[in-house]
Amino acid sequence: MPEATSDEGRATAMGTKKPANTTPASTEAILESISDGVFTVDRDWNVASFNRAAEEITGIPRREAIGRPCSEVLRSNMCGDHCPLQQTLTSGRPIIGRSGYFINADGDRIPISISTAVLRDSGGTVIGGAETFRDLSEVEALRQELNGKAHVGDLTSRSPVMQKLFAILPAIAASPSTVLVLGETGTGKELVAHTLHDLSPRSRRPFIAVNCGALPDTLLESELFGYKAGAFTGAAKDKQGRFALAEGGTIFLDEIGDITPALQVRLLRVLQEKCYEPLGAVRSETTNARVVVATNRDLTALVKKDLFREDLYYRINIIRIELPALRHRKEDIPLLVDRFIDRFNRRQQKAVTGISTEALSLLMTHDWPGNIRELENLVERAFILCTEGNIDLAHLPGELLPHHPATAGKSNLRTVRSTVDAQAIQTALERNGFNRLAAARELGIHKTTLFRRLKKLGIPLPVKDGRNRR
Amino acid sequence: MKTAFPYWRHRIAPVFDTARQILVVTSDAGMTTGKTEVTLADGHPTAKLLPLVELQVDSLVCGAISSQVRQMAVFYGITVVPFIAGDLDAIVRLWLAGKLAGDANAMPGCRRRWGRRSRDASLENVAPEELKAQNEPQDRLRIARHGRHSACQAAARRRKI
Repeated sequence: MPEATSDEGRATAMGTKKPANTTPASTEAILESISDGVFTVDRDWNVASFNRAAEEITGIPRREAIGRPCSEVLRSNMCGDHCPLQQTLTSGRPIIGRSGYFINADGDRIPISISTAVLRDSGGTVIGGAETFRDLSEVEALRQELNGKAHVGDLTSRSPVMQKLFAILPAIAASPSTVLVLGETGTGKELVAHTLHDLSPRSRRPFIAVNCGALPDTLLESELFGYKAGAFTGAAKDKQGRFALAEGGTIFLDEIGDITPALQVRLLRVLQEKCYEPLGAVRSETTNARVVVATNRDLTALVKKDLFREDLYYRINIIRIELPALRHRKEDIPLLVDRFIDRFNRRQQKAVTGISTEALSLLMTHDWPGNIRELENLVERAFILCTEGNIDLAHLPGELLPHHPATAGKSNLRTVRSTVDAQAIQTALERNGFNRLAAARELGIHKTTLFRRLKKLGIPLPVKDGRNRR
Repeated sequence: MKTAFPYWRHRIAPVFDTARQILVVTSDAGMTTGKTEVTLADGHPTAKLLPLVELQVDSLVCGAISSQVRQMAVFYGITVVPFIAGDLDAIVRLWLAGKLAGDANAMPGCRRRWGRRSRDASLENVAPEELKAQNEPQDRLRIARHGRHSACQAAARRRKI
């Protein structure tokens, strides 16, 4: 192979030792024809041969790779102290299918699996090593397509809305801008704030969470900004505020919609000028903590009612994350339940294997006003009753069967079916303004069947009559 | 100005994302005025930037670096000169003399990009201080050697998808 020969000559000319690719022509032909990247190194870790697939996968021409240190050619996360080829040459044992990535010239991380082997001459002397690597980009892409990227940090979701959020979360984390997280109670606002912190370059610095709704105004002020000795009766010595504690890190202000107008002014100044005065201080202090705020209240409505400062609203509404309620992402319930079961198994040393289909179906019919927190509490409650095997209907609270008191306590598929039916009928009625004919049409059943089902399921006829709504 | 050189076995570390040893060189008008060794902990690659931010590093001369980490470095005002390979002392010398550009110091597979770079603001024969002054924050990512070419390729890939 002329090209290989010239490369060998070039490598020798570059001052490297005799290359280890003393392979017969047939072997080289085989290496050229396979789809896995293969390269060999000499005893000085310089690349001695580099096959066609290696050129294609790495985007590096053979003439540039030959004679260069293998770590500067492959540029893998395994290069360095964890080099698999070095481990093979030290131990004499091959490594098969170790996963990692290399960085191509565009800065993309390309997933690969690596296998290594020792190269010996006819006398058994080690003359170098061989490394085979396989591009896993397509496999990884297919895997992600099948599974979706269900986890980012501690966040778990497969819902399209959350997937969009997962895609932009790293970029938001990288930015130092203030983030506003909106969502109903229990949707995981603090978890999002924590994930933003963990993904950011500030992750080694503190994450400080403050619930603004839990403290009275004066206490919250000293809690946030700290105070100096003598600032008030009982202030015997200086106390650092949460902003000072979060220096270089992230401060999370939950329930921001609950703070008073006076504190809103002080907070506005911190966000605008990055400085504040602790109580009793005569000099300002600066802060570089990243601010993430959250609320379950409608801030625009509060602004209209003059309960929330408009300028503060615009100052915190730079990057806005809206978390959907669990009832709008019910496809996540199985995933979240699995996650909670894993967590409680670890915490409580139990061996709960999962959840039965009937119990899961019941969870899917619930509206979850308390969102993920409510679901977590429900799984925790089920763990009290269930120590091993699957969580079943018997382990779930009776209030999940609101429309069927007659079947309370019975744990079977019929119960679940009835609950699902009742839920569907109720939703259809509500959506059609309690017009029974329209609801029946939406459900694909006759009006008489609807009445029969209502009676059978024990659902009282709605007081509101939608017949005259049009 | 301060420049960070991640290294491994006395060569520029092949991958910044996993590098552990950093040499930070303080210079004034091309002359070394101080050197600091920093050991980075294993962990999330972006966390590796934080010690450099704390040390107020202006430039990072490194081997391969993933685009995600590079963008974060730019966010923190660090000029990235990526895909550099070679002996640590030689690279430091060339950098301080403003002669780092050129095929001889590029990682394999990155050479052709040096030719195209001439359309961008050139690093060649530019003293580190001048480079710092030239690089506005929004241009820093682009000005690093592969910037314009990579951006075009990425755009082309997106169009294909």
